Amino acid sequence: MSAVNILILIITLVMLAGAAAVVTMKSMIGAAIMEGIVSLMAALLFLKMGAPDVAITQAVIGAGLSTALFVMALNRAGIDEKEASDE
Amino acid sequence: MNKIAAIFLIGLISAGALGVYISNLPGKKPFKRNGHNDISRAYMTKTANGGKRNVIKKGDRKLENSSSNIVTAVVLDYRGFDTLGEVTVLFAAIAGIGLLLGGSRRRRIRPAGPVISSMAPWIAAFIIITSAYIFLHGHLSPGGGFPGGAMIAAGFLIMVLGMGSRAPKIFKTIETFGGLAFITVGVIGFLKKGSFLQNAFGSGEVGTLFGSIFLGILYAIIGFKVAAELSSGFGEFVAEEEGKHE
Repeated sequence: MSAVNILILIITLVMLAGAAAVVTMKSMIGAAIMEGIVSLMAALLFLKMGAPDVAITQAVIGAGLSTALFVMALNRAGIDEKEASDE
Repeated sequence: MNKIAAIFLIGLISAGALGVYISNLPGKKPFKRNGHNDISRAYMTKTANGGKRNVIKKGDRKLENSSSNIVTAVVLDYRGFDTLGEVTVLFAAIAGIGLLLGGSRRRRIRPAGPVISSMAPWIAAFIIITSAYIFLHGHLSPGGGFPGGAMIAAGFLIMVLGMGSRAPKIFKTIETFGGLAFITVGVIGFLKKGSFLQNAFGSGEVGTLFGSIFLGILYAIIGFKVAAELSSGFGEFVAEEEGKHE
């Protein structure tokens, strides 16, 4: 296994762990931020596989704007950590 | 327990799929000799070799579109019509957001604390300068109009949340005239070369900023349009009056 493949494996494992954390996490804001981390790892994966154009778009839109949109929507809907943990 | 099992199963399936995908990546044999890869090979050799068998280098002229970035060449030149469709889809989505949220009363956005509100313009300025570089150099380096415009929107979002600024009216105008300018460039291609969105401005030296003026114009248009659209959309989201739709 070459160094590049090991790096891809590490990134993939982080992505899987992040995706599991999105589902199991109690706090909704935390889940939104973990989703951003999954997107960021996907961007790294694209960069590693030689698609820098896609990587830039994924980092900006997936990790930046959509995370901001989720956090804003959760704030507006009034769902915070306290309410989520009460259920 | 069911949830844990489901997560484990999904993780297993996706890891397996990713493994199969990685082991089938075209590393050593980039192009097949026949089949559907012929079209992509034709485009690749056309741009990368300028129609001849030589690899392009700085100083080459008279190529088909003088782009050093193959992705930009395909997205804007050979598949320019698809990009027009994408721009239209984005326009329709933002128009829907504007229709839903635009008429409501505006909330006054409270600026953040003094540290964030004094740093926000500086951070936003650097983000916007970087994104201008990204969409102006779309034909030279990775990047282009869509990520550049989205980065401008991210910078504007920092200004909205940090300083409480608002989307000015001119964003709507830029949005409208951006779409119009894209179609105008296409019609110019139709009138001069006989095909919609064909490269009508010629091609200069490879690797220079003004070498590929057609792609530069199109990506500048797309960059401004996407920036204006996403900024005004996020502005609507942030400034929506609370509790209006209940």
